[in-house]
Amino acid sequence: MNWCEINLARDLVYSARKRKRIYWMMIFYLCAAGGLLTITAGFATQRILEGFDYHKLAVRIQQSFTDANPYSSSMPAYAENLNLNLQKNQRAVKALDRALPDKLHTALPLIVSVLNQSDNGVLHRLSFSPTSGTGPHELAFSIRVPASQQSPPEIVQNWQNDEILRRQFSSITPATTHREKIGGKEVLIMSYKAVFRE
Amino acid sequence: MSRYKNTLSHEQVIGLDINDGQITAAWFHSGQLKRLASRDYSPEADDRQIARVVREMWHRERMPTRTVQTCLHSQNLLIRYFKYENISREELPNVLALEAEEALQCPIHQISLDWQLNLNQPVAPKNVTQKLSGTLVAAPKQKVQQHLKLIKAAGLYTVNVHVSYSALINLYTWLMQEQDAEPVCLINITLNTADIIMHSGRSNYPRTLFSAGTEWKQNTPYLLENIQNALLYYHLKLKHPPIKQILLTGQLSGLNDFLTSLSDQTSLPVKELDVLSMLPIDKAFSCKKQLSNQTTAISLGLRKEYS
Repeated sequence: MNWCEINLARDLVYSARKRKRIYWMMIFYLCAAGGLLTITAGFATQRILEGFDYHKLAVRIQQSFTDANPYSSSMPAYAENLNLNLQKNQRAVKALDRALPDKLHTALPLIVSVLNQSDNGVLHRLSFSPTSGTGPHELAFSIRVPASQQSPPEIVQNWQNDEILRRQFSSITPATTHREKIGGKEVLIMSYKAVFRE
Repeated sequence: MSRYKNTLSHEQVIGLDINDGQITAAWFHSGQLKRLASRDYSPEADDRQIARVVREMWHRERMPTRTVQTCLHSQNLLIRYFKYENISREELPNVLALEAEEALQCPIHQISLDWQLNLNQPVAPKNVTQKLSGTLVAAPKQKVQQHLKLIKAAGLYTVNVHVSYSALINLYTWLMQEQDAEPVCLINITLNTADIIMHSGRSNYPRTLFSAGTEWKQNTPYLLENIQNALLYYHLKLKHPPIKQILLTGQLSGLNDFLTSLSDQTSLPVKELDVLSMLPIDKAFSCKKQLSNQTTAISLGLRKEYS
């Protein structure tokens, strides 16, 4: 075919074939860039939604806190207050720990166990009283029994029968007995004192 | 769906001719002529004004802007037949560059040139000498750049800058397909210019005439004389077989008289080439009147792939 391919701008313009190739490359590039943009936008949207959810949760927690602690100015102040209380309690516990004799730590569970063995007796109060001056330490406790019970619980016998308690304490003596009404029922509160062995 | 597939696989080419105060565009889609549009502009208009008219026309006609094939019309354009008896294709570019430099009187880096070989004999390897003939086309690079700038200012993208003779040959080749046609003389007449091409097999001999100052209708004797001269030169000087027929296209007032005179003076059958009737036309095509520059615009819109 005698087709005349004269082109005076051969080195000044892109040929149709080259331009077509460039167009397809551009379309490919745009598709790839568009796809990448869509994926990135998808991820970004997901993170924004997560952010919204977290925000909603934070608002809900804040609301719950305000409902529960209407007098607290803010959560950090409340946390600071709690922290101060905790430190105070920690210091008190440490002081108590230093004051208590070492033996009490091992004996205490055993004491609770022995006291709970008594007939219908329930441990009412347990306190450690370091005596003033240089005297031995004392453990004061009281047992609560229904007032209608005929026989008193055999606390002293049980105590003295336990070899470990006998080794720890030099004596156990009943202190007082009185009546009280707890929860509409009349009960007998029987107090005892146990003296630690030196 | 097939419409979109068709749009993607076939580029929509538009042939644009700006000449003689008329802008003519021929829009081809999948090898079918879809639209033919034209606008007039003042011959005194500068490039910016012409670009505005083109842009307005494109906007109104809603034509694609991507693939536009244009044509350079300039008095500085060099269209020259060359024939070398003993030259290799390797040496040819340098020889043609020298010839262009000599004719245009400017250094080679300021010249845009291209050429078309007449392939009427087997092509030898590049370094082997042989007889080579063809057509050299050259123009000052500044003119080509100015033309491209005009097209760009109109918002269009040029892919090819033809000259009127090459467009006309392509039109004839396209219409004849692979038929082994007899030697013909193709003539395209516009308001002030005329392209005369002797075409035989795979060989062309072009001439472009300018009717300086007046239109052809007042200068027909000069046109007739030059056509006769070209016919004689082609046959007697270049030793090509004689032309058997003259095919004429374009517009000229008093065309019938001119055809008769031409036939009488050359003793050859002269036929008017009705391009529109020979082209595959799109269903949506409509054209109210025949345009004077339509042949060049149509020729520019054609692509080898559609033939």
